[in-house]
Amino acid sequence: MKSWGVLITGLVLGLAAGLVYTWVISPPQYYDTYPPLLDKTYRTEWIQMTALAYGAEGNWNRTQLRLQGLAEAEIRPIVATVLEQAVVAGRPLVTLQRLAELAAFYGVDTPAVHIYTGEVTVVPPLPPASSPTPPVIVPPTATVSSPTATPSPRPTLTAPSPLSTPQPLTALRIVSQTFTCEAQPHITVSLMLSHTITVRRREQVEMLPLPGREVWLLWEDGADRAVTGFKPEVGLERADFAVEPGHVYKLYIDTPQGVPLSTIQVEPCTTDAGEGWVSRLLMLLEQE
Amino acid sequence: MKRLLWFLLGIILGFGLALFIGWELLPIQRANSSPALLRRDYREEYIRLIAAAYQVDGDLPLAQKRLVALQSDTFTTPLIDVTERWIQQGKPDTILIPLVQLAHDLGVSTPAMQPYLQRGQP
Repeated sequence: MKSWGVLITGLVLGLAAGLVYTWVISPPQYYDTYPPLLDKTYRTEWIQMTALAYGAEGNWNRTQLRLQGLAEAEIRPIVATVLEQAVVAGRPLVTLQRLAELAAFYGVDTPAVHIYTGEVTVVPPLPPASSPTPPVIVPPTATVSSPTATPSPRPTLTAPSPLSTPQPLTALRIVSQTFTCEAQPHITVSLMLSHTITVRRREQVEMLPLPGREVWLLWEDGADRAVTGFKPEVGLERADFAVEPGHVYKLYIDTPQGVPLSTIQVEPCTTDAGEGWVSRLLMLLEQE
Repeated sequence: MKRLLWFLLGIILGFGLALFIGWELLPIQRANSSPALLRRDYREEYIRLIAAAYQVDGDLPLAQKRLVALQSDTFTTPLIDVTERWIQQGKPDTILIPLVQLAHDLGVSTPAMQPYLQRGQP
């Protein structure tokens, strides 16, 4: 082999060895980097914190700047998780709405996104004060109002929703249901706390209203949310939903996840005034 | 002997060329840096995000862990520096109160922070 041939061979081998060294063994250490160059763990944290900050501050432009250069495919699942965790943690509604807005922007398609972005219509929690037809009490045979009343049947198996997480154990139970026949059906939930106090060494049970609790109704293609005590004149423990025949409603308290407290179907009924729909008043008791 | 010298010369030239290509011309960009290596404005944004996230989730150990990732001598130093500088610059309360609150919860409070701490009280 000629001298130049040997030189070329050495050059190629040196080049190959040098590239292995600079690209694999000792790549340049960057300073003054930006979020897309962060290690995956830190990138995930950056996205999580950005989502939470948007939930708290609501600054859209700033959020977009913070997420600039990061892959949407990477942002999407993280934002979905942040929203899910925020729902479970019971964050304020405005925070959930912002997180849902952000998640929707990145293509997240979960029930929580639909609920909090308003794609699912949330009807006013209470029916109009002046009802065209006064409520008619269904004959006593149709009224269940005793502490031993069994709640509506619960499904033994429920397919987990994408947001499904173990529902916290709660002492909530339905103690009674009252049915009335009305032209405009509604479901009213009365949420009370059973509180045991000791007076002169004797235990007494007090019933306290529970205002400010979220009550959810979910049906096949929608959801509705009301807060107890929204109209104090009706009762601090009350939350009311206007419902429609033909839907099967699942009742949840606090978060719309897990096994529903009750499954309710709006059924037709007949009274002297004519045909109507069964409205329900559910008395729920939470034991301290 | 002469051929060996040519070969070694080729190796040296090739390796030198590779160093120039690999470190200067076409350096590989690996996403493996830490928050400590962020550019200053992003580092400040990182601190602001820590405070904003803490405001929502209230997770103090997590906020502390995130500050530690900035690899300062004391993990609260970057937080204090940014907060005091932004106070001097007259940044809005919406930015300063979460920072001051986080600093306070981490056991740090400076005279400049006091007014914001009081404003942040519910």
